Amino acid sequence: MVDSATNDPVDVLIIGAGASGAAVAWSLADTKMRIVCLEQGDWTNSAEYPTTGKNWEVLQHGAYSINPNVRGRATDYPINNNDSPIDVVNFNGVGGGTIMYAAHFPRLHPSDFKVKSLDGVADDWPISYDTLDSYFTQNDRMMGVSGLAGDPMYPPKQPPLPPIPMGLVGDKIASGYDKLGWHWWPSDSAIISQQYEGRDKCLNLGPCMSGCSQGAKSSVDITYWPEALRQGVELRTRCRVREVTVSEEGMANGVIYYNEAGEECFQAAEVVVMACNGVGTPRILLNSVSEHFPDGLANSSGLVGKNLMFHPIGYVQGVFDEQLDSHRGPTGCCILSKEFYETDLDRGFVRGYNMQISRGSGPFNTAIQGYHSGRIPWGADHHKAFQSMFDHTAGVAVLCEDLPELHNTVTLDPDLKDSDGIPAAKINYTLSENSQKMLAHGLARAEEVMEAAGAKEIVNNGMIRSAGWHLLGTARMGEDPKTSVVNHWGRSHDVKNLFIVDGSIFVTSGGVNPTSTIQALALYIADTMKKNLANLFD
Amino acid sequence: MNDSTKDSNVITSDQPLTSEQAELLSSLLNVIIPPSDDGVMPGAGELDLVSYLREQTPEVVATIRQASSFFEFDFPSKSATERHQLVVEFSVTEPEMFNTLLFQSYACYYQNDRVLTGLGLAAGPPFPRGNSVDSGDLTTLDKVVQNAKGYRRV
Repeated sequence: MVDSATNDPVDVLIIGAGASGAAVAWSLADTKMRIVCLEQGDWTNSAEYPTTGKNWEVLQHGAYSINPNVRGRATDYPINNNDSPIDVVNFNGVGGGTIMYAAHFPRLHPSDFKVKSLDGVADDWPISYDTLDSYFTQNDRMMGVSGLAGDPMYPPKQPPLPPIPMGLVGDKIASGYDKLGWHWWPSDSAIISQQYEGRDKCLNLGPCMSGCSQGAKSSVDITYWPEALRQGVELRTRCRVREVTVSEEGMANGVIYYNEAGEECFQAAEVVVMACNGVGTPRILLNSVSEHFPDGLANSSGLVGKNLMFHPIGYVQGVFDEQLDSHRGPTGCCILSKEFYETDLDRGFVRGYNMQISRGSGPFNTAIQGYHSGRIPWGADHHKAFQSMFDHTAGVAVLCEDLPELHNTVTLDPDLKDSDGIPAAKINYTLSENSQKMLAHGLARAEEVMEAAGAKEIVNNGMIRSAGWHLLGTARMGEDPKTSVVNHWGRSHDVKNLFIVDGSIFVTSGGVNPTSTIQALALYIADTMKKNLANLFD
Repeated sequence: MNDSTKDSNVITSDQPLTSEQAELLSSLLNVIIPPSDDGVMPGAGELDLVSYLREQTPEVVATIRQASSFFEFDFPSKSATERHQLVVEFSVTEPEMFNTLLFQSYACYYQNDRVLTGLGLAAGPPFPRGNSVDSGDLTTLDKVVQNAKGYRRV
């Protein structure tokens, strides 16, 4: 085994340089502790992102696919989705999922933290919206978030930048919501609408989910990381952690990882912070088997890898007579609706969903998706069908709250391994009856909106398979060590120098994209660690 | 199926297709995406597929070559109806290969400057040119605020 560069123990070792790892690294940096982050992927280079080339749309089907099994980079690890109707999507590299996310940036709502008290399902979080409020604001400022204050569906908040343009798509769909008398609001977006902190504003390129060549999308490689590095945090790329090791006393004392050459290395640490999100974190914990922890690290509750929550996403597309310039502007950020977000049992299900309006595809994806859906044929009728679709569509994505269920799991695949021989993650997931009812309700309402907005054709695509962006709940937080993995500030109940700061600690999922809340949680945990440095392990 | 061992069918290192294969493929692609009636949009076979293929992986080139080998070299001289029918038959008997051919045909077509300008778009990649988007109408939000149920207090 190769010892790390210095072989000196570091004060804090963070695993994963994505949304939460970057935030916690930046926050802890002002302690002047020696902090190292290990990241299995590389830095990305915005000059190489797809929109710098003519084949920008084609690359989304290969090297820049959101699906790691399709992308298949050396820095990715395979994921077995065979027993799940939803495929996990992610990105492995500095920035993590923020490199390829749509940057739709809503916060969880106050009610999302108290679902047991309010609706009698799942569990309450051990913290509240108010606990995170100041961290949401801090994170919005660090990331650069655009939006419009005054949304009545949230407590007061003030995004630092004005909203990104709604465009003709936003106007058209908003007219549908207005006719129905339903709520809509410009989306909070982690995309800068004006120059901000040395970054140039959004150019409306369109395909945010294959990386932003302009640097206007707020991925953490260009927000938190430059600041954290300037403050002395060390970030090592191409370091894939296999397991967290423990001392004879049962405390975490470092990690074993593989470097780019595939050599096995050891890095000692006083504190280990997991920031690999809802699949990566349980994968490493379950692979960290020792005499003290035969069922995986921090797993005395048996809940590591259990209660996996996605957000089941359904999609309805409307085709309009009018030209909507659909391919222009951030694909996934436009307007949203919270009309059906809160529980109304008359709908036949508990909890609710967000409706996220999306723009259309570029010409290649319009053609290839149209072929597969049977709506744009090849041959003599191709041009006519293509022109009726291209720049004439808008979409409503219905993003449903998923409730925790023990049988939805991340485990270690007995056969499939990554290029370093580490077991791959295996997903077992079924869609609950509640989620099915919610999805059906949302899809029907999305069709109503399209009709009200004047769509000449409405296509209900049902649930989307390749949409497992949001990976939550697999190491939940709580006060009781028997029913949770970490306490109310992210510290493992079992291993007092092990912290988890990513989406795996969510108790429930809410019905919105989680990155804003994940980062607020990471900042809150880091701040709590700083306040408790003198007795961190008590 | 055509005979890929004919003397004229020599593939040099920088030529992904022989001239006969290129002619056949051009005709085949014009069936998949024919020129538009008004002449604004070119047929897929009118574009420089050979240059496109030079930028692709050997696996893609091999698949395209294999797909074209399912058609006889007299394919271009057949009637439009016959050519269409042959492609339909190919799509049914070899769906995976047809889908690859279609994917690459569309990929080549919809990144071509002539096609993009025919659609009224700017030629070339989106960056750094960018796009302009209207800010949108926020005037009805006052009514949204009046009507909204508000967030659920806890």
